[in-house]
Parts: sequence; C-alpha cells; structure tokens
Amino acid sequence: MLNIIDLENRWKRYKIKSYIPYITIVVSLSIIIGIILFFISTKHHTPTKQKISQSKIIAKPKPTRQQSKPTTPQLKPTPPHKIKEKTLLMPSMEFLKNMQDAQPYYIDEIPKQKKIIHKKVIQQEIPTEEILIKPKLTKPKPIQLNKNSIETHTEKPKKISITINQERDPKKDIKEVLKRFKENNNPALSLFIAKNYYELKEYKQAYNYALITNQLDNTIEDSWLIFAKSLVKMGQKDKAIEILKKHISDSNSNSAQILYENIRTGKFK
Amino acid sequence: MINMSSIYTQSKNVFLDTVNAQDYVQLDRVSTIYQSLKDSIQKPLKMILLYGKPGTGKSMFLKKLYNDLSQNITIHLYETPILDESEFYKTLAQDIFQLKYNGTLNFTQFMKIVNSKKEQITQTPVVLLDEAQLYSEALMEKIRLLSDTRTIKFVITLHKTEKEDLIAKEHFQTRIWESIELENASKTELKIYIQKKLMKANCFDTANMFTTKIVNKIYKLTNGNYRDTNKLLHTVFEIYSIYEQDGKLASFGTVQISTKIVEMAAIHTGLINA
Repeated sequence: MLNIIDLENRWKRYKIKSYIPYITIVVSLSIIIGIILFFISTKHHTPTKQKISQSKIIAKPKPTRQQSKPTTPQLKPTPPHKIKEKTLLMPSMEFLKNMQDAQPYYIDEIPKQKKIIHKKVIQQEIPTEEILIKPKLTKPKPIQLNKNSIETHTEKPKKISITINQERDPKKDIKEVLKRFKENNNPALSLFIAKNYYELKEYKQAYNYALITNQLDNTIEDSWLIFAKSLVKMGQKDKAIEILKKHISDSNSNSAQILYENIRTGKFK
Repeated sequence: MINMSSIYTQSKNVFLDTVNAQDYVQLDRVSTIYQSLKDSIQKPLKMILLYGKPGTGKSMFLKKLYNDLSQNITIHLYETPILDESEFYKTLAQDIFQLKYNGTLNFTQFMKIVNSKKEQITQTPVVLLDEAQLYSEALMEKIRLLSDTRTIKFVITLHKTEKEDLIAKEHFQTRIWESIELENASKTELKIYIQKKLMKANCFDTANMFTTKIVNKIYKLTNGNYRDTNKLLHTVFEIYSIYEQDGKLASFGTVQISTKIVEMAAIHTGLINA
C-alpha cells in the first residue's frame, strides 16, 4: 500500500524544485534586461541634459539684454512687479511703498527721541577738533572742572559735550540723522544711516537705506557696497554678486571688484 | 460519471511486471523484428543473438517465440540461466535427447551424446537461453562449440552492455549468423502499447484516458522502456485506486490521466529523483 500523504509531500517538493530553474532564469533575465534598459535610458538621457543645458545657455542672454538696457538707473524706481521678475534685484518693495506713502517708519520713532535730538544738536555743533580730543579726557576731569572753575571755563562747553558724546547710543544717532534725512533727503545722510545699521548688524535696514541712497544718487559707490554686503549677510549671496557685477561693469570700481571677489570666494560671509 | 470502481484495479493488474506471452502486444516494428527472428530460426544458422537494453522486451520475445514454435518444432526455453556446467549439460541431454544422466556430466561426455544422436535428429532442436550474459565465459565458449556441431541451434539474449558486446565479438562473431537488436518504444509505439495492453484486458475507459500529452509525459519519464512503463503505470493505477477509496478522485477527473499522479508514480518508482 502506498503512503499517499508522503508521496504527495514528495511531489510538492519535486514541483517546487522543478520551478526553481525557471524562476532563476526569469529573475536573472529580468535583472539583465533591467540593467540593459537602465544603461540604455542613461545613454538617452545624457544628450537631453546637454540639450537642456544648451537651451539654458541660450535662454540666459535674454535677461541680460533686458538688464543691459537700463544700465545706469538699475536701482531707480521701477514698478515692484517688474523688479520681482528680474532675478538680480529682489528688494522689499513694500518698504518703498511705505516710504512714498505714509512714511510711518520715520514718524513713529521721532517723538520718542526728542530729548536726545537736543543733545545731538549740541554734539553736531561741536567742532571736529574737539571731538578728536575726546578720547584723551577722562570722566573725573570734567567733574572737577565744573566744581572749581565754573566762571573761568564757562565759555568752553566742550567738556560737557564730550561726556555726552561718549555716552551716545548709535541707534539714537541713527534716529537723529533719520529726522534730518527726512527734512532734506540728503543721500549722504541715508548712506550714514545705512552704514550705521550695517555696523549694528541690522542688515535689513542697512539694505533699505543703501537702496534709498542709491535711488537718490546711484553714483555713490558705498551705497552699492553696503547694499551688496547687506544682501550677503541676509543670505542672498547670489543677488549680491549679480548686483556687484553690474556695478563693476558700469563703474569699473576697484573696491567693488575686491568685494565681489571676496563674496564670490567666500572670504566675505 | 462512469463507474470506474474496479477499472483502476483491473488496469493496475494489466501492468504487472510479468513475462507472459499472452500479454505480448503486437506493434508494427516489433512484429517485423519478431517475424525476422522466426525466419532466422528456420534458416540453418548456428546461433542467433537477441540483444538490447533491459526492459526492451527480449524475454517477452523469447517467450512469445517459444509459445508460437513449440507446437511445430523442438524448442526449449531456459529463462533462468543454469550456471552449473554439469547441470546445464544434463538439462540439455534430458530435454533434447530424453537422456537422464546421473552423476556429473562434462562437456566431453555431452559432446559424445550429441554426436551419437546427431543422425537420429530430423529437425534441429532450438534452445532459447535468456540472460546469457550471466553464463561464464568458459561455458559460453562451450555453447559456441556446441553450436558448431549444428546439432543444436541456440538463440541467446544479451543485455547490451560493453561487456556483452565484448562477448559477442570475441566468442560469437564468426558464429552468429543473425543478431537482432531490440530497442525502446517510440512515442507512438508507446501509446499503442499502453492502449492495446489495456484494451486486451477490456479496460477501454482507462485506455481512452491516455492522451498523446500524457503518453509524451510517460515517454519522457521512461524513455519508451517497456518495463519502466509497466512499473510506472502499475503505480499510477494503484494511486488512482487509493484516491478512489478515499473519495478524492473527483479532484483529478476521469477524462485523462492526471499528470500529478503520473509524477507521483514516477517519484515512487524512482523515475523522478525527488
């Protein structure tokens, strides 16, 4: 009598065994075909990449033509949407709008600084020679002078102004200058503000005032440099490079060239 | 559904590995060979060699020949080799010359008997020796010498091996007048063989279950060897009988022989190494 159960189990094992060669052949063939197809596809893809890169190269001159047209007044007021389209300059145009319309930026801050303004006015009236002397003087000295010879030295308020000057807050200075800038729109003042903001590491404000300076007078090189530096600090290195490139092409400025190289090589971060 | 409850058991018995002349299946090629063998026996040949691989039907041939000719001529079939030389001569002396010999009978003594009876014999007796490869070389040499006397005609069967070829070449090359090779069945012959065998036993339903596809499968497994085919089909029908008893036959159907069952039978008989 046959042991059918055992025989069936043996048959099942046999069937599995018999399919193994076919499975291995199919799997190996599919792997081989897959590899071949992969290589074929990669071969076909490489020319398309080249085509794309070529098309990019061809496409590149278009923006340069557009940019080359307004060579001199690049940063001069343009509609915000146009500026956005350009890849090189992406300033915050809302800032400009604010400046043109309400200008709340200046107005809001001014009333708080009334007392300081007085001090600054005094400071600005002080001759530059006296300011140079300032570091040599110490704090106790003006106190002594005040006590002993008030009458004799009444004509020299210099020492008082010196003490005020040492206690100065750069932010307060900026606000003071801001007020003046509002009155006369002097690009030198806006540049001063931009530089101060840059030193205070308020790069966005530095950027804004550099832009304003440039709008007022685009020949001031420092406005370009501060603008570019601020952009770098804000992480927009590519834009900074592009702007410097244009400025260099227009002005052949050495300092701009040096900054450009520093930014490009990563020396200036 | 056809009631095949007993048919599977009957079919199983058809493929029992027995050498029975009644089970001989008439196939065209085999019939031609058989006829040529019969004709050769009528000719004054010293020795006829029937050779082929195991399971090609040599023994069946001898059996069939013996059955067919025993009515007309003096023919003796020795299916099992008589390995003892004295016993071999004594058996021949008794069967051919009706001489009972007590004690040892050696070749010289037997040759004397042969020569003395030579004139009395009107028709050359035929001795059919199956499995002749089992005889010793010395005895085979003596059989050769006996055949040279033309008093006894020998039909011997050999397995076709290198050794057997050597025997044929060295001892019988000049004496063998006829050599017939039996081969395995072809696919067509195998189908006819199976179906004829079943139909002989009135197993028509199971005979119809052997489609060309399943016969090809069987051929692939047995290479057309009759003995292997018999063994395989015996197991096939045994499995069918068991499934029938267990009531699992419906899953295999009765239209044609199940490939699964054939493979299972092949595993059981060792034709598939699983």
